[in-house]
Amino acid sequence: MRPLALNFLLAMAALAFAAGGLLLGETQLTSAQVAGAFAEPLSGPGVVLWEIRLPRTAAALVVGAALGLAGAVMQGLLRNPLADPGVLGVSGGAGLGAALAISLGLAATPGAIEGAALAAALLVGLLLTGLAARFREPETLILFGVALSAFLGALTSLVFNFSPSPVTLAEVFAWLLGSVANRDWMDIGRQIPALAVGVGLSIYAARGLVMLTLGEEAAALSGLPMTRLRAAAVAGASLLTGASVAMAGIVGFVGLAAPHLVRAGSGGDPGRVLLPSALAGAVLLAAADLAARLIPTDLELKLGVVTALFGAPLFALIAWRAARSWRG
Amino acid sequence: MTPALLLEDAVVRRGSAAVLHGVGFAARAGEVLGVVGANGSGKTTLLRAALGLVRLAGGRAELAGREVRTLSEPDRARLAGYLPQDRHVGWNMTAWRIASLGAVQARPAEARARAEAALDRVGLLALKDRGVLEMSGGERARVLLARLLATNAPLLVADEPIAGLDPDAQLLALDLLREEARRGAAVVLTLHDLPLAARYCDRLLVLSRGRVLADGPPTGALTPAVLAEAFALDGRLALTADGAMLAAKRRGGAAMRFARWTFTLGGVWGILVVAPMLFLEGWIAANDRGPTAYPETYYGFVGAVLAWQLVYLTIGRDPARFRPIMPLAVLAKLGFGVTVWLLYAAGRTPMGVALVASPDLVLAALFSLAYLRTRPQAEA
Repeated sequence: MRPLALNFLLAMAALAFAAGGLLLGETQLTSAQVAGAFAEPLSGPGVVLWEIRLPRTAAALVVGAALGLAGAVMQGLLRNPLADPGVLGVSGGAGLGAALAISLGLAATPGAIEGAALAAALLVGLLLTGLAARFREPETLILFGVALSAFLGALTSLVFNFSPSPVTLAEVFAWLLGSVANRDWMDIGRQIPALAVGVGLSIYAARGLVMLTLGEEAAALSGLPMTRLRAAAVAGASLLTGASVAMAGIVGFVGLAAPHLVRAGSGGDPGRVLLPSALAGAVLLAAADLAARLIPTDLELKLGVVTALFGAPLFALIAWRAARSWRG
Repeated sequence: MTPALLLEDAVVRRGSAAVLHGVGFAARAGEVLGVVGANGSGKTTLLRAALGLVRLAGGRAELAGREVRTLSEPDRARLAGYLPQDRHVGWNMTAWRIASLGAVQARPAEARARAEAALDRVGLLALKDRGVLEMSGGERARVLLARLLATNAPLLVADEPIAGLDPDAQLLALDLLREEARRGAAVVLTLHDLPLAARYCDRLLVLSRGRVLADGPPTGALTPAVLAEAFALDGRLALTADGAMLAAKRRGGAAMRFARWTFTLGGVWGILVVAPMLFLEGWIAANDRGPTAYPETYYGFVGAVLAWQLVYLTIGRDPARFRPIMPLAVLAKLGFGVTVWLLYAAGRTPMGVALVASPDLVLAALFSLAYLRTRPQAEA
């Protein structure tokens, strides 16, 4: 498939799922009502559409796209099809930040949890950027990331351990499961700057990712400023992951799966896989959110649970296939 | 003329051990320089050091007269193209995209044109749209060579460009690198095929244990002594009308292991037992027979034995290095043992001394046998 056609198809799919997200929901609305609601934001259906469904759908698309892009950047940087934003501990850091903010009683302050999550993700990203500049080998970065992930997970458990009340505990837990329910436009708007910078850095790093296909040594003599490009890739992926965790909690497997779904269609090129990955991420998360809303359960399914339920078997499948074709 | 690449007194350490001990060489435009040496002799490290990919613990590396550390990444890429030994390609990109990465600083259309021209030269233009991970290892290696050619750099450094290629592709790759030299590039490559190295390179740099053993035209560099020292080979490089031929055999490894412990054991025995014993003899002789006796002879003998044992210990540390003087060393060992027995026979020394000196004699004799058994025939 040609890359252009692939991107077009993915964009169409994202739009279709988004439309589904707008038309379907707890409150039954006909498509005529939805169409009318666009024009009249203050009517009953208008409020449902503008205040509930649109922000939710937009958040799903944005978070999915950010995770898909971050995953593609990470996989390109580490030359590893099993890398994703979670591997290096960025998601773990953001989760810890949010857990801390909640257990410190900041849940009522608007933007406090999100701010803490983003700040913690940035700290981890900064640390990783430093490590990426210092150590060229992707294996080293992965090892540091795994250690960091485990440590941050332990710290999050510590927060659970000292959590003052079961209510707080439940709150932290619900947040860590990930969801785009009940997001308003402000929740999305607050993350736009971080997302924009993350996208910019990822685009800047793209040609470096392409060059890394040949390995560190060939890339080092390619003439590209590899140290800077590598740092940009880590920083960009961290920002994207941090912002998406701040917006929706921890949503796993999208960053891992999205690049895989589109890799073959983009000629394997780690630079050209970025846009389709972002689109595929948006499709996946919009679909997952739709599933979370439509699967009839007493309590609504959490988004992170849905993606993990579908993502984990996919991860196993990818590992299975990668093991067969590993290192060409 | 400023050399395209210059390395001076380069020292590279890995941990506390030095991988390169003060190595120097220069590569000039229009010349194909081959770097040969046994596995682990430091060839790859040498190339990486010259290109600024490893930190030098001493010495300097220059590209076109400019210190490599001070060069910006784009400048360095303009001065040198590098084909690493590792042929792992991360993703299944098409052959022409991979080759075009050599011209990443050019405009896309030009990069593509250069990539396709280079693929044509390595004979893979027909496969330009094939993913490199769907190719055989040899084809992939040729695509990576095409990427190196597409750099158009004035210095091309290739680490084992012909490893894993079929004979035809080996000759093709070397022909292409020669062509690059003819158009004015400096070419530095490592390879293990000594006859091909002798045939295609203008100059050979022979590395052994992180040191330059020889540097010069192929026949001058690959002398029998260099073959023995650098590759543990007994034989010579024969030039025929059809090219070079390596007529050589492996040196016996078992004999070297045997040499290692006989020389070490002999040295330790000599220092701890033989020398003190001789000293004691001298001391007793001096005290028993008064100043008219000959203790100086003994003391002189002790000094000579000690010095000689140090030589043995040095040989024992790394017998392969002392291969050329090995027969001499063994003869000296035998000679010492025999001399002591002769002295005993002449009544000049007690039997104890002769007995103490004898293990050395036995080991030397055994070693001579082992050495003779594994000694290769003079010519293949």
